[in-house]
Order: sequence, then C-alpha cells, then structure tokens
Amino acid sequence: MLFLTPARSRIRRAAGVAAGILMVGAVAAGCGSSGGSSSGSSGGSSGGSSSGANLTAAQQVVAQAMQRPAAITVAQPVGKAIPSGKRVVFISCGVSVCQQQGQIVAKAASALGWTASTISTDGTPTSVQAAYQSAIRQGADGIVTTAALRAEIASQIPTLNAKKIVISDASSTDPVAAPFIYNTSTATQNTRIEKYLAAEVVADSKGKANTLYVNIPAFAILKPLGPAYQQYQKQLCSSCGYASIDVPLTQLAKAPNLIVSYLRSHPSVNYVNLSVANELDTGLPAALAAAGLSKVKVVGQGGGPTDFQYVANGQELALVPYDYYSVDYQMVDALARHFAGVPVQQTPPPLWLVTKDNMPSDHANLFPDVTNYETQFMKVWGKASA
Amino acid sequence: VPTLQTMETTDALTTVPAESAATNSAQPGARPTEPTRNQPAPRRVRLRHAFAFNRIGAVYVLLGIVIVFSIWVPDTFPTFSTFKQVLNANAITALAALAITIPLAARVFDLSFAYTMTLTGVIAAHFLSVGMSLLPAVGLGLAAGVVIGIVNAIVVVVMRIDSFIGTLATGSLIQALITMATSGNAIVSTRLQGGFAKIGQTNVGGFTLPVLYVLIVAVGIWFLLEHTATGRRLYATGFNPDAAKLAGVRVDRLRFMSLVVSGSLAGATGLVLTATIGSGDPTSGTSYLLPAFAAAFLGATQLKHGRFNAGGTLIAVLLLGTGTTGLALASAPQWSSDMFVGVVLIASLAVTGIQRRATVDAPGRVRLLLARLRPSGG
Repeated sequence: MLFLTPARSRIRRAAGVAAGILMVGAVAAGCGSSGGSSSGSSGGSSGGSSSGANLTAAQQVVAQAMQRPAAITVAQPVGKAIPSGKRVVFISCGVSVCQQQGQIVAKAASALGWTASTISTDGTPTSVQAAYQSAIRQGADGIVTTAALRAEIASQIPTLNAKKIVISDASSTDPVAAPFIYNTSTATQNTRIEKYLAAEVVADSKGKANTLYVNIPAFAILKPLGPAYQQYQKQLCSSCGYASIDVPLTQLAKAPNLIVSYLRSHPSVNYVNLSVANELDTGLPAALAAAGLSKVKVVGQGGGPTDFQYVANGQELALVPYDYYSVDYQMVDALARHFAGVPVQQTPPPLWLVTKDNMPSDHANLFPDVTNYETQFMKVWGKASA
Repeated sequence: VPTLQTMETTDALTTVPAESAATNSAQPGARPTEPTRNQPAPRRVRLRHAFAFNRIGAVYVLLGIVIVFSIWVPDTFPTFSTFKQVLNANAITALAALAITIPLAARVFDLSFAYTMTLTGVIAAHFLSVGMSLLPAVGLGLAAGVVIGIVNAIVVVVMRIDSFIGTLATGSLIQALITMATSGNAIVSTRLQGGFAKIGQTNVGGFTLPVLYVLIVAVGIWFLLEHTATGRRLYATGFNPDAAKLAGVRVDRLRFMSLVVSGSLAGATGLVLTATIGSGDPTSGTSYLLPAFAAAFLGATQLKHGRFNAGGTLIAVLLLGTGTTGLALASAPQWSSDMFVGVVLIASLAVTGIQRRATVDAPGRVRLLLARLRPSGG
C-alpha cells in the first residue's frame, strides 16, 4: 500500500519528534551540568556560622564604605594652561545611560572651552567602527567612550594615531596604549566594590552568609569581581558560603526567574550579589516575594533609579552605584592633561556603599558620589575662579 | 461525491473519519455515504480527536518535560512551588502573547506591542509620581494603549502599509517618544509602591494577580474567537482575506479593530508589568517581543490546527516556562535555555507540518483509492 499511510504511523512520527525534543533537552542540559559554567563554583553550600567571621573588621569596612566620598579621586592639579577650542566626541554605547553620559561629557568639555558632540552606536562592532570614522571626519581632537576594545577598532587605530586623536576610556579590559591615554573603572580598581559588598553581607548576616553571585559573562570587565567577592568574603568569614551562576545576555529578562530557581534548589543561600544590579534585578523583589523568598537579601554593583528605590524601600540591602558623573569628568580631565602636556594619571572612580540608611533623597535620578565634583574638577583645572 | 466534499469542508468533530468514509465508499456497488454533518461523532471519536497528539502535542511534550525534571531534580521540581513559580514568572509573557493573538488570527502583525507596554507603564508611572491619583493615572496609561492601537490601525488598514513594517515603524516611534520623555531614566517614586504596586504584586494563595489576569483575558479571547461570529470572521480574514471579503466579511474593519484590541491589551499588560517591577522603566517591554511571538506561534500549532488561539498560546507559554524553569532548577548551563526554546519551536512546527500534510493528503489519497477501485471508464 504505497499510497496509504496509516494514522498510527503518522502519530508515531509526531511522537518521535516530541521524544527528540525531550532527549535533546535532557542530553544537552545533562552534559552541561556535569561540567558547565553555571553550576556554581566552589564554596560551601551550608549556611556557615559566625565562628569563622571577623565581624569587627567587616563592620569597620562597612562604616568606612558608607561614608559618602568627599573628594574626587583626581587630586593633582593640572598645573599648566589647558588649551581651549578642542573638539571632543563622545561615542555612546547606545543604551540610555550612555546618552546621559554624553550630556555630562558635554558639560565638562564646555567648562574647558571645548566643543563636544555625541555619536550614538547600537553597540555592534560595525556601528562602533562607523562612529570612530565619523569622529575622525569631524576633526575630533579627543574621543571619550566606554568599554572600547582595541581589536574592535583596529582598522581605525592607524588613522587615529596619525591624526594624533586620543581616546579617554572607562571600563575597558585592554591596557592603556596609544591612541588610548586613560582608562578608569578597570577590573582591578573595581574589585574594591566587592570588598565593600562582602563586608556588608558578612556584617549584616553576623557571619552566617551563604552568597550567590550572579554574573553576566558577556561583560568581560566583570570577570574578576565574583572571585574578588569570594576572596574578600572568605577573609572576613571563612565559614561563609559562596556559589555563582552565569546569566547570558539573552536571558537577562528572565534573570529573576533564574535566581528564584537557584534559590529554591539551594535553600541555604541567604544573600544574592548582582554583578550589574540594573541589568539583573528588574522585578526581582516581586519575584522573590511571590516565591516566598523575601528573606533572601540582595546586594549589587551598579544600579539606577529603580534599584535605588528598591534599596530605599528595603527590598534590597545595599548597592555600590557607578558614579557616572565623576567618571565622565575624569575622562575629560585626562584629555585636558594630555592637551596641556601633563602626564596622565590612571585614577580609580569613587566608590560608595549605599544602603537604606544613607540613600540620597534625590535617588529618582542618577546621583554623583561626590556632591561638589564639578567645583573640585574646576579647581584642579585651574578654572575655580571663573 | 458528497462524502468527499463533506470531508473537506466540515470539522472533524461532526464527520465520519476520512478512512472509514473511504472504506465505505470503496465497497463495490455501494452508494456513497450520506453526509453526516448533523450527526454528532461518537464520544470515543471525539475523545480521540481531543487528545490527538497532533492536536495537543505540546501538552504531551509538557508532560514529558515534567516527568524528566521530576526524575532529574526530584527535590525541587515536582512541587506546588514550581507550579506557582512557572505561572507567576510567565504571566506577563502570557499576557503579551495573548495581546497579539487576535491580530495574528486576522493575519496582522503588531510588532509595536512591546513598545506600547513600555509606554503605558511609563505614562502611568509619570503621572503617579507627580501626584495624580491611581485611577486617572492608570486610565491615562490605558488610553495611550488604545490610541496606539488606533494609530497602528490607521497605518496598516487605512494607509495600506504592510503590518510587519508599519508596526515596526510605529514601535520605533514609540520608543523614540519614550526616550524623549524620560531621557532614558526610569521613573521611580514611593507613590508607585502603594495601590499601584498591588496591581502586579498582590499575592493570592501564592499566585500573583497577573496570573488571574491571564485567565480572564484568555477566556475572553477564547470566547471571542470560538463562540462568536466575529471570531469566525477574524479567522476567515486571516486565512483568505479576498475570499472573506467576497463572502461579505468586513475585512478592513476587523483588522482595524484587531489592532486596537492589541494596543489596548498591550497597554494593560504594560501597566501590570510596571506595577510588578515598581518603576516606569523605559525599556521594560522590549524584552517581551520575541518570547510573546514565540509563544503565539507555538500556540497556533496546538488545539486549532494552525489557528492562533488563546488555549494554544497558554499551553505554549506553560511549555516554554516549565522547560526553562526546570533547567534553571537543575542548574543546567546557560546555553540550555535558548537551545530548549529553539528545539521546541522547530519540533512543534515540524509536528504541525506532519499533521497538516496528513490532513491535506487524506482526501487526495481517498480520491486515488477510489480511482483505482473504480471500473475502467466509470
């Protein structure tokens, strides 16, 4: 019967396809879980005890970290006249906060008598390369950007060097070399964030912390932060537990569900440390509450107004926000020193541990760690009397 | 032959199965079987149809997933907490997918729905943060959804721009409007934590209110599509707009209204999302664009043989949500979730393809059988 296919045969074929789904899923996940990157790192899964904790040291670090920075990290005055009339281009990463950075950079440049413009990208290599080409055509003297990679703009670097166009950068994983003159918020500098968070967690838990670190592997600059947190936590509390999971960029919207799933399968975890709070915690407090996990406390690096509100409401314990204001001024400061012929110092960003107790009242927007940062930068630029 | 015409044009629930009809017709000298349109099918046939793999294949896959994960992670997966987690975590995705089910049934894409979700949330958050009371702020957010639906309808139906491109363009305009109004900043206020937050965060027996909204919206769409003339006309519009127009269906009006409904539902979903996350986030809705379409298209392979329908959409959301939650509970690697979604989508569509070919081929095979059995020259 060549022309007739029995119904049962069709059903068997369909069932075979369905079985394939299950097998592929199970095999794929099974393979990965045996040696994959998301199954957690070392560290105990038990809650730990206060016996191995140095609570006094943790509390001292917390007390220091919660003091709002009073001074910018650039202490050395430029000491020479900064040439005016320079053209600065800010190459934006494309997300909203980068647009705000463009405004901060423009304000800093204006204070130095420079002109500034912003070129937006969508973050793709081709759009970034096009942005550098545009900056070159615009006659830029300096470029300010974030997380630039030498390899990404390799074809533009010869032209940039030939035209003596320099780049002032932040959060890059590459070493500083021409045309780059400055890089702040480096991986090494950022490990201090984890020192603050580890101290906060150990102190708050009274030495009974078992922390889940949530990493976003796509952000290479974050790579050392998880191990740094683990190390600092171990220094302060040898019996405290630590594990980590990775969240790929494609799963960011599902991060709360992934975190809740991990917490349900590891009920001894009582703290969550977010590598990038504003990317990972949107809706997380509600998801924790719905799952009956409200006792789990959340800390993290970065954050925006939504995250600040979570902290102010007591839905999250603590954040170390990224100070866009100081960092952007530092990048402009580096250009100023370069144009003035002064050696450029590689300075870290200011860091501040923010909890419900010291959250600024104006947290509906991004806020600077150093309240009078503009005045202080004007002073080191020799513009204070203006 | 009346039997064959009947088989091709009526629902399987009210006709003799193709193969038995063919067998009857194939008897030498037998009269063709009388049409059986008005005779209810035996219960056994109806049950077999209702539970056929090619009709609810995703349910069987879902059951298989439940079994696999129950064995794999027996401590955490086979619990009521997992059930609650799956529903709570996927309620917004389900609402978003349901919002686009009606226009898809009419063969109209609404790619702007995710941006509409963002906009209505931002509008409500803004007006709440400046002191407006709850109901007017929520009302303004909902009104924005309706207005966007009307704009989409004008672009697609009146201006005759392809819906895929047209709503992509309006979505881009909406995002520009959001960024212009917020400068990319999330809108936060303690006023968002009161009654407004309860819209998305109220917990009833472990289930959040959005789960209830999903049920209400799904029942509404199910009733519209399955039990009203408008639903039939929507499907007719989707399958063959020219034929539907010739049959007297007001195709343009249906498409217009489908986009208005989509904008309204997306707007309401955006309000629920904003209430859940507690801030007017200028990018909150965009992450639902692909998951919602994936659920809607996967849902179309369930229950209704290629028609976008509410029940199928819910099954799809549950299937994808259960799989990803199970993988997370099992601490599966980061790539497993995307792989799972991709494999499920392809496999489900493959199952539908097998089913469709079987359906389409059946009458052809019967004709061939009759031709072979028919006396020469007869």
